[in-house]
Amino acid sequence: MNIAVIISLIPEAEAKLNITNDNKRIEASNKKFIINPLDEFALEEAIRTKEKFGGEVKIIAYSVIDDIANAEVLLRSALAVGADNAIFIENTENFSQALIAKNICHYLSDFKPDIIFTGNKNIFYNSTELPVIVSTLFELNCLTEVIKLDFRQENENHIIAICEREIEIGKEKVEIKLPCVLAVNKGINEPRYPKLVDIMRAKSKPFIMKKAEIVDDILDVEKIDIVINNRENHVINDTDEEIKKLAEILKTKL
Amino acid sequence: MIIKTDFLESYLKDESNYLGKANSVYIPENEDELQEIISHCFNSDLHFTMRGAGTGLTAGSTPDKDVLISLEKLNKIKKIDTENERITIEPCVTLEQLDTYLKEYEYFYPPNPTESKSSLGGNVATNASGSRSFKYGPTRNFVTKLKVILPNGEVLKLERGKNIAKNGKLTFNTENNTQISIDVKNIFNTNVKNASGYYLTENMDAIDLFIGSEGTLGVFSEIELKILKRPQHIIGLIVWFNNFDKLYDFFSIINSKINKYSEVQPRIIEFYNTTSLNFLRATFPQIPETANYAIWIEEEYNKEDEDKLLENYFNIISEFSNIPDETWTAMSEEEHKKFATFRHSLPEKTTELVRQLGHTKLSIDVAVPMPLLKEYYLKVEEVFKGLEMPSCIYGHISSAHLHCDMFYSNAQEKVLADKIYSKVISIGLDLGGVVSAEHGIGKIKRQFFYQMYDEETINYMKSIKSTFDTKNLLGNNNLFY
Ligand SMILES: Cc1cc2nc3c(=O)[nH]c(=O)nc-3n(C[C@H](O)[C@H](O)[C@H](O)COP(=O)(O)OP(=O)(O)OC[C@H]3O[C@@H](n4cnc5c(N)ncnc54)[C@H](O)[C@@H]3O)c2cc1C
Repeated sequence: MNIAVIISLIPEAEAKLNITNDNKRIEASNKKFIINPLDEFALEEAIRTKEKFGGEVKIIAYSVIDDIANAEVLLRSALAVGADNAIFIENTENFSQALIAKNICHYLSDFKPDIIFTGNKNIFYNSTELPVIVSTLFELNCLTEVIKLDFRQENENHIIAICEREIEIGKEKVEIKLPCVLAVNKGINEPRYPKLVDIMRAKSKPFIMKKAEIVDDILDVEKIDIVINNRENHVINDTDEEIKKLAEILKTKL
Repeated sequence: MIIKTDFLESYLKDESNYLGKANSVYIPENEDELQEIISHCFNSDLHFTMRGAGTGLTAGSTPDKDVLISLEKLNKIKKIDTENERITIEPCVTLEQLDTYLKEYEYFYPPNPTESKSSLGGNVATNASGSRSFKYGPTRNFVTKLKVILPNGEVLKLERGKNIAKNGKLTFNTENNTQISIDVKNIFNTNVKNASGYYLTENMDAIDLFIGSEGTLGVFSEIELKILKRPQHIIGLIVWFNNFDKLYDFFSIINSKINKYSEVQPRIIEFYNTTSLNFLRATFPQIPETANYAIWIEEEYNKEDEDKLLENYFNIISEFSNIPDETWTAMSEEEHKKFATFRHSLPEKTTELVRQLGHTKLSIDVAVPMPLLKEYYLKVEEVFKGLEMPSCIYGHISSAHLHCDMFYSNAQEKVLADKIYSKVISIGLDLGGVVSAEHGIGKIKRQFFYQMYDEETINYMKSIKSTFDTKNLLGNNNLFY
């Protein structure tokens, strides 16, 4: 089975971010990056699928990251948990999700994926549209919010994914025919830890860097504003009276 | 200065849960106020006990009468000197605070006691150690200067290397030029990881007497520590074993600095027994089913040595582990964070037992001479075998120091736990071990402290105390009855 996983490298939650002078871009240099946490569940699900059906897991990754060495470390560890090869589209800074999707499809078209996994959301951009756009471009079915996955094989060319989705009032069970795009959410699995032997093997797995081929964007970022959190701060002095007040606040307001 | 006569019960307890007594709590806001209150106690014959962060496990910072002095407000980092790799701090800076500060400078403070909320003053007073102590040693190895306020309010400034015992004598000069002399004898076992009583040896450095003195000789008001450049690359490994003998053989090889895999030079080697892993399985279902024991390793390395290092580890692990392919590995910062969650899970799980299910923890802190470690472990495992109450054995195997914890929940279990506790301590002492390797004696291990040393030695240590604390006011009931 040809299995693709879309992975985004994003600045870690604690990274202090600045905006460039033109207010259009997030300054990403010298920041610590991580794999978008929901994409880690996608990767784990991809590997489990491969363990069931055999085949190949291809990572297709993108990031605003300009530090290639850092990206390689992250993606090598993704290879170490069981993917077979990785394509990294470097420097997608300021790209709309639609443009990223176009580039992903460009590099995946020869692979002809039977199934494409990705995280339900890119938590850094707070965006969920990527899997949907990818599926549209590939003319595939797509399910989001997948929290459980099983398969039923009707015959060699006919595999059904049985998915559980989170919906407002509870859970929904849906069957979807492969090929398809599945956007997974937290809870679908416990990602495995990289194993020593796999890290060694991962060193020789193909890791290819690519420039974005398609660069004409339909969207243009006008402006990015950093929101300053207006939290209410109270300083409690170390007197018994104030401590009692604090206890009261904790009791009533939480 | 804040003075409280009506205060929260939490000031009368540390993490051992032993409940103390005091009439007032003093919270000095600076060093001058600290000195003032100490002199006040001395002049008024008030007993006083020092409290850092209160994370101790032996009730050392729990007052037994009169006054508790809480250092919580003396928590400033005074200066960093990167050229000489030194940092000067007030005593109640916490490990967490220090690490966050040093990160900015790309430095770190190597001893790594697990409780990151503990204060450096408390760490020095208990000579705390942690997972990285295998490579770097305990707190002691990183204390370069101490400013000590003696119980009578006089100040002593100590610097490592400046005052070494000669012909069995050590002489101290206070800032007021008072001279204090003590006779030093070899009583402290330096061959075993040790936090049991005063560091007294014939060729000792004066500063070492105060490190590990458990708040009984003087109060640290300023501390200078040695710091090191943060290593660029660290590899973490969790290796699984189904059999203790194999684990021990593996450990012996990586623990010896000269081995056929001599490129393997871990800075951390920690142990988990079967019951420890069972605690962890609830949160980490990924732990391999056939794993009965585990070892966690960390090593610093240079990028160019990475391939060779991985290969070396893989070869040696394959020789001893039944499931070498399952060895978990952390290389990126994210992966190390996941490992940290794994490690912190064990204390969290056991604290849950205590806080939510009302169990009481009994924690054995014995270390033995390295050549006898295996014998010690097997005997202890035998004692713990079939125990009905929750228990776990884990920790610093590379210092021949394992924590053996039991969690009892009723009177019957308490009797049994107490019995096991005494038994294990006797096993340790018979093998030339020490009662406490890390947490100190405080108030709750005095019985075993008196079992470890003969009367003459105890009296000798008491005489050292009264030389510095002439009225016997500081840290009442710590170490001695
Ligand atoms: C979950 C957990 C994990 C732990 N892990 C470790 C570990 O890995 N290694 C380890 O060694 N310990 C460990 N401990 C024990 C504890 O954290 C250490 O003993 C620590 O050094 C205590 O620091 P503290 O600031 O909390 O001291 P406190 O509990 O406040 O005091 C401890 C002793 O130091 C004295 N003291 C404090 N400050 C001063 C000062 N400025 N001058 C003179 N005397 C002073 C007190 O009088 C008392 O005798 C652990 C505890 C917990 C709860």
